[in-house]
Amino acid sequence: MQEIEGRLYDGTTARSRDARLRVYSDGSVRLRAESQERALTISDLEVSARLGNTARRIGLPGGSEFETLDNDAVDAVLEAHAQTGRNWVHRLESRLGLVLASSFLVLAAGATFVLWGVPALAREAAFAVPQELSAHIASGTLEVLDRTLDASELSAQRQAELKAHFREIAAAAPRGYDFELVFRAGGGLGANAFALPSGSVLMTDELVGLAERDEEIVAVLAHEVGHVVHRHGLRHAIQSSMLAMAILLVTGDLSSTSSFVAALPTALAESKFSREFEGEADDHAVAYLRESGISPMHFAALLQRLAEERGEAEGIVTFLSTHPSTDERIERLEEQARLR
Amino acid sequence: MTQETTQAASRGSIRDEHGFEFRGTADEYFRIWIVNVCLTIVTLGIYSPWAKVRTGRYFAASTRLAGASFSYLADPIAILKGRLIVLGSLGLYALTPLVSPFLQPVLGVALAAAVPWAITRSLSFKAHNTAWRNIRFAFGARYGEAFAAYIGFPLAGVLTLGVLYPYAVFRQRQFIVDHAAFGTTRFAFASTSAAFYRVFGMLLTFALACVALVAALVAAGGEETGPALALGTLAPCYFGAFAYVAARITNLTYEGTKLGEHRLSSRVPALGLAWIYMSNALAILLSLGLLIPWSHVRLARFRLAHMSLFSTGSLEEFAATQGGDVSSLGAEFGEAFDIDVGL
Repeated sequence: MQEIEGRLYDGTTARSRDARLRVYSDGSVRLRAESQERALTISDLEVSARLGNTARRIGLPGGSEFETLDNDAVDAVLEAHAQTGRNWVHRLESRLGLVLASSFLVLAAGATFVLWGVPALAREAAFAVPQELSAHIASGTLEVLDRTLDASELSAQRQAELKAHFREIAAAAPRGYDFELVFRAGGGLGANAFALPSGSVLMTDELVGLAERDEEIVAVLAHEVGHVVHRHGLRHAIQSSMLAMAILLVTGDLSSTSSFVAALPTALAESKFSREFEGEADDHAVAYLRESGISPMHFAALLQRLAEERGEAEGIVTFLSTHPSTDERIERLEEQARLR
Repeated sequence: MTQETTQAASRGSIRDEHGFEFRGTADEYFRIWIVNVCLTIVTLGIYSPWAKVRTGRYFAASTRLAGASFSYLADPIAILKGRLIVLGSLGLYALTPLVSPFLQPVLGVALAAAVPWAITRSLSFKAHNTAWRNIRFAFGARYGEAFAAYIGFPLAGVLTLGVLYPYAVFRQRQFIVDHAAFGTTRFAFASTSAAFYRVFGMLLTFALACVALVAALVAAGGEETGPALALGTLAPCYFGAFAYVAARITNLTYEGTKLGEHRLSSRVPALGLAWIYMSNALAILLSLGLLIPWSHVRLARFRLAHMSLFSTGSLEEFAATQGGDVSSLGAEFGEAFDIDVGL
C-alpha cells in the first residue's frame, strides 16, 4: 500500500481540504478527505506529467482534483502500476549529462543551421521562385529610390557608351532577366552602384567620375550583374526572415530582453551572409573580365580608390559597409589576376 | 497594511494579506528550457507549442497563493492550430499580389480588422486555461470593446501627438481587467486615468533630465571622452525609464484590480526592477543566451514577491462556472485554438 498526502479541490468551489490517497497493490484506490472516503481504481486517476518539483495534479472522476507536492510518491505509485511511459520529457530533463549534451547540441545545431542551413535553404527557395515574381516583389524599389535621387548629369553620349558595355555583360549572363542600366546623381549615396532583383542596375554619377578607365566600370557592372543572377536580393530577404523566425521560435517570445539579445547574433550572421554574396558577385565579375581579356586588377584599383574616398567622406553606406573588407577583396582579385 | 486593516475593520470585515510566491528555480527551469529548445530545433519548430505549454505549466505551477499553486491547462494542439491559422493568413497576404495588386490592401485591412478579435481570443484562451484550486479563469469581450481598446484609443493617442496615449494605456488595462473573471466572480478595474497620466508625466520629466544630463556630460567631456560618457549614461537611463514605466503600470493595474470583495496589490519598486532588467540583459549577453532561463525565473520571483491578494472574508467561496453561463465569458473560444498575441 502506498500513501500520498495532498489537498482536494472539488471543482465547484475554491474550497481546499486536506486529503490522503491510498493506493493498494491490486490497483484499488481509497481517497479520504476529512471524514469522507471514496473508492476508486488506479485507472480512474488522471495524473499530470511530472514537471520539475512543481505540484502534481491528479484529476478524479466527477471533476475534482487532488494536488500534492510529493512527486516521488506519485512516481512510485505510477511505477508500481507500470504507467511511467509518458514521462519521457521529464526523464530528459532530469539527467544532467543529457541536459549538458543537449546544450551543446543546441548551440551546435543553432550555429550550423544559421551559418549553413539558412543560406542553403534560402538559395533553394530563391531559385524555385519564378524570376517574374522575384522581379515583381521589388518592383517599387526604384520608384522609392527616385524620391530621394536626382536625375543623372552625365551626357547622353557617355550614358550610351556605358550602356553598350552593359549590354555586352548582360548578353553573357543567363537568360530570363530584364537587364537595364540607369544613372542617377548619387547625392547622399556618393559613389555607389546596386542591383535590383529584376535586373535593373543603378549607378551613380560619382562612381562613373571616380573611375579612371572604362574597364573599372565594366568590372563594377559585372559585379552587380553577379548579384542579379545569383538572386542575392531575394536570398537576402528570405535569409533575414528565416533568421527572425528561428529566433522567435527558440526564444519563444519577443520580450524586451530576448529581442535585445538576439540582435547581436543576428548582426553577426547577416554580416557573414553579405560577405558571401559579395564574394559570389566578385567571382562573377572576375569570370566575365577574364573572358573579355580585362585584368581583375582594374577592379582592384577602383575598390582601392573607393576605400580611400570612404576614408574622407562618410556618405557611402550601402555599397561599402555591407561588403567584406576592401583589402581582403583586393587581395583575392590580385591573386586571381596572377593566376591568368 | 495597517490602513487596509483599519479601513476593512471599520466596514465590519477582516482583511488578510496573502502573498504570492514564486517557487521555481533556475536549475529546474534551465533543464526544461534547454530540452524545449533542443526538441524544437530537432522537430523544425513543430514541437514549439508543446514547449510553450510546458513552460506555461512550469511558471503557473511554481506560482503559489494561499497554499495552492496555479495550473496551466492549455492543449498544445490548440496552440498549433492557432499558429497554422496565423501563418496561413500571413502567407495568403504575401501571395495575393500574384492574383491581383488590388487584393493585398483589401486583405491587409481585413487582417488589421481581425486584430481586436485575435487579442480577445488570445486573452480568453489564456484565462480559460489557467486555474487555481481547480477553478478556471475566464475572459470574454465584444468585438467593439476590443476594437476601442486596441485600435480606437491608440489611434487617438497618435493623432493627438501622444496627449491621449496614457488614456489609451489606461483603457487597455481596464479592458483586460474588466472582462476577466475567476470562476463566477468578476474582476473589476478601479484605477483612474489620472494615475496613468502621472506615470507618463514622470517619464517625460525623467527623459528630459536624462537628455540634459547627457548634454552636460558631452559638453564637459569634450571630443575625447564625451561620446563614451554619453553612451555610459544613456544605457542606464534607458533601462531606468523602461523599468519605471513597467513597474508603475504593473503596480497601478494590480492595485486597481478587484476580484469581488477582494483586492490585488503589487508594489514592485522601479529601481529594483531596473537593476533586474539591466543585469539580466548583461548576463544573457555574456552567457550567449544560456542564462535566459535564469533571468526569467529571477524576474518572476522578483515580481511575485511584491504581489499579494488582500482578502475580505474566505477564499473558499469562489465558485466555478456551470455549463450554461460559460458562453457569456467567451470560454468556448478557449478550447478551439489559440492565437499568440504578445501583450
